[in-house]
Amino acid sequence: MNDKYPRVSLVDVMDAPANPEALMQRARSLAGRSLAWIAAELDQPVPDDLRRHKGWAGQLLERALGASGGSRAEPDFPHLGIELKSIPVGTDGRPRESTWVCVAPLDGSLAPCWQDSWVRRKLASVLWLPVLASAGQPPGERRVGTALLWSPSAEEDRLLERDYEELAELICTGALNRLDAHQGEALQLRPKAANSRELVWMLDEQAQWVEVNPRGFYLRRTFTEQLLSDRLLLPST
Amino acid sequence: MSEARRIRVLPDSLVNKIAAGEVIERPASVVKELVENALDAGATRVEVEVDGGGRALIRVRDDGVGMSRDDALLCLERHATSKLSSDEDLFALRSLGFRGEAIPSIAEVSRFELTTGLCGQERGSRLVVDGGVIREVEDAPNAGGTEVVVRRLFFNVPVRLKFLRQPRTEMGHVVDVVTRIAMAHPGVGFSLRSGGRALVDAPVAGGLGERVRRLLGKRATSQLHDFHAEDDGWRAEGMLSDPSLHRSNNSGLFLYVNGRPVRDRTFVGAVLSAYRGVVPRGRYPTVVFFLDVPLDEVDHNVHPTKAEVRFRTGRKVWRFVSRVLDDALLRLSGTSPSPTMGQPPEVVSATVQAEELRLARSAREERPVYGQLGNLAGRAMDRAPAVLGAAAASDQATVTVAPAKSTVPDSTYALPIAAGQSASGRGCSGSLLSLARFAAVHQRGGLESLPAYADLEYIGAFARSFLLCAAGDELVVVDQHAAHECVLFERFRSHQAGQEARTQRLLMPELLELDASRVLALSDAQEALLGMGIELSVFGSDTVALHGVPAGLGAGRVRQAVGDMADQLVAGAESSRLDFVRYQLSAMLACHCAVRAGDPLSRDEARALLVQLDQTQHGSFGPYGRPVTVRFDRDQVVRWFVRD
Repeated sequence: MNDKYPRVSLVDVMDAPANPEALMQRARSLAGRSLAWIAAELDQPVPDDLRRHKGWAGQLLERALGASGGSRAEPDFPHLGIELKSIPVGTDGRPRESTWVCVAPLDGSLAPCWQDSWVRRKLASVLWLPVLASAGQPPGERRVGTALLWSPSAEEDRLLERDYEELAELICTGALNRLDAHQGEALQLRPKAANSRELVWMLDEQAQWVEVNPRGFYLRRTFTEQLLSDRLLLPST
Repeated sequence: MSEARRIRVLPDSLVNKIAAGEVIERPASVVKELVENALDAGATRVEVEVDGGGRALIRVRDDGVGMSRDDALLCLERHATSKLSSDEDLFALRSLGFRGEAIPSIAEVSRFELTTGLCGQERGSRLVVDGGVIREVEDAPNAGGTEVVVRRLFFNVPVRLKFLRQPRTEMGHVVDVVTRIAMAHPGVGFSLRSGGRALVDAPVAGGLGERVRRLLGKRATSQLHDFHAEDDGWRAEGMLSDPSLHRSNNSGLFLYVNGRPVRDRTFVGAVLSAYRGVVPRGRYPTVVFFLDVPLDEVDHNVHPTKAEVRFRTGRKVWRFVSRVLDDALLRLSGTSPSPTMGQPPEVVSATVQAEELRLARSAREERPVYGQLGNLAGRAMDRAPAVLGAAAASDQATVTVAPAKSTVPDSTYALPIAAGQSASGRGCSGSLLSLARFAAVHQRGGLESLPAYADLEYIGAFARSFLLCAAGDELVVVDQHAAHECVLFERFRSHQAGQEARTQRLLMPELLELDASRVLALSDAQEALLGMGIELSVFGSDTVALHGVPAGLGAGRVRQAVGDMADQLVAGAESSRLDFVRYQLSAMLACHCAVRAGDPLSRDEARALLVQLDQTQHGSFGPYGRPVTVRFDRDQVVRWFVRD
């Protein structure tokens, strides 16, 4: 077999990959593997369900690929400038949920311009790792799909820029009543908090400080579905 | 008479070499003999390690009863065995070996090392034999059981060495041998390793089903069904495949007589007869069949390898085997419709079904029918329409083909179609043309004035299979499957000729469970496959992951094609001509991925297909030699209607 899909011992890959090619090679070695298999390779326990272990799959894959960025603002592979995104997909290959990008600062520190934004930096180079997860499937049985190293095309970049600047405008002007998930074609704002009691300060339209639920930037399902189907053959096609 | 021509008794070493020629044909023979010895020694675990396809190293280790030093030395003598003691024993054999030929034969043609010790004793023995000459006999630690190491096989028989195939091919034979033996002994753990890879890993299983699942993979096993039957001391047990599971060669037949894997024509024939009309023509089922017959009904002492048997009454075997499988298939068809046949079973009494099928088969076959039962799926197949039925029915049918725009009106030429190859079938069950034949056919085709397909006036589709077109005074019938097959074949061939193949990566790799020899074969053909846009990786000893397919094709059909390609590669492993392997793969992929007879095409799609045909170099015949078009001139059509 050629070395494109080598059998890589995950125990040996705890160090960060040296370059994008090494990262892709590791990612390819995971294609088709179950999360239980990967967990066993890394000597990690497999939770019975993800309700109390949200993010387990993503963290497992980060570990398997040698990511170091964690939940910090910097990319998961800082020296490569590559962000890792595991994306749960159904048996039809369509994403099952919107994809978290980063926190949307509501305190006035948000970069109003797309070029300077964290969102753009985060999405400049993304390693998408689909995880096949049908409803009710135990976490360990979920399978990893084909890795895709993605940078936005010119058209995608324009779309994201337009959405970002619209959303940034709403935040900057304190348009509280419009800060919901309905805005944006590719990028959207959604509440991002452990529970509704978690609050942050924000200046409203009258320049009054008010407490609101924190928000985060997310990519819509329709956008990620198009992104994947443009580049990979989905099971349903 | 000169001294050289006088009759003399041959020296032992020459006798041994002659015998070795019969017993030890290739590395797989060594593995077979040593594993069988291990089983006869009561082993519960047999570990096999092979390197260099068996030329460099074969190591078989077991945890059986072992041998004393005297026995170990004695087993190096010809016809020394613990398994027979009298004439009667020969006709009541229960052990796998009995002739006492294997060990001396192996030791004669290799560097042979035997380490063994009797159970419970502290010290064992180690014997080293080099080309039949005992070099060392010494004490050794007794680890329990026996370990045999065979190095440099055939080092002193260069002729035999020359006949060995590529290490991969020999490895495939070894995998096959171990798989077949392991299938019959679920209570024994087996492992086969080569180059650090586990090719067979079968821990002790609870029963046949578990062992078969382990060896053939879960996916294949999910389409296998248990059967067992008993009649007058004859016993049958095993698993048979659903009609939807079929392959291009008979490597899925695992047949055993009294626990011993055998190759017997009667047995194979009886199995295939049960599937006649149930799986498509030219395809083979997967059947694991353990036939236990009274010991006086069978003679295993026909050939030194014991793979061949002689039955006292072949007809009886045929009748019993085919009846068992017919019954099992009948039960299957009664409970679940055959997906391949595309129609649900009708409600007909079993008796009527059986009689109809028996009659249908009798009409087709010249040989006598030994009381078969049938199933509805078979009837569905029998009723399949035959558009060119007369051509398909005769052994050497001739289809008259005329290019649509021939400069000479009568310049038609005929292409013989091999027996069993349907000119109207859904796929291509016929044999592939040789490279030379393909070139000859197309060269001839190129001399004719081929039609500009795009200029044909498209009338419509007939039977969702044939595109009816008009070209002036002629009716041109285009086989949509053959036409698309032509287009795809050229596309795949041109990729191999250096053009960049476009691969569409799959979001989720498709996992194909195969046996180890097929995985190895695909692994070796990976470059050729990549040239066609198929991206594969080895996913385990018995699994291959399909990562990418040629752009524009569905993953399902490519997946099916890859399975068949593996069969072909294993079957044709002797072929060293890479160009022919590529040619074969292109043809098979084109056949699998082309639109089928029965697939509805819109007018736009039909026209697009005709335009694409024009872009091919050879648009008149597919790689299987099937014509793409058949033409009828006005006079012919007029004659159909008995008009002047």
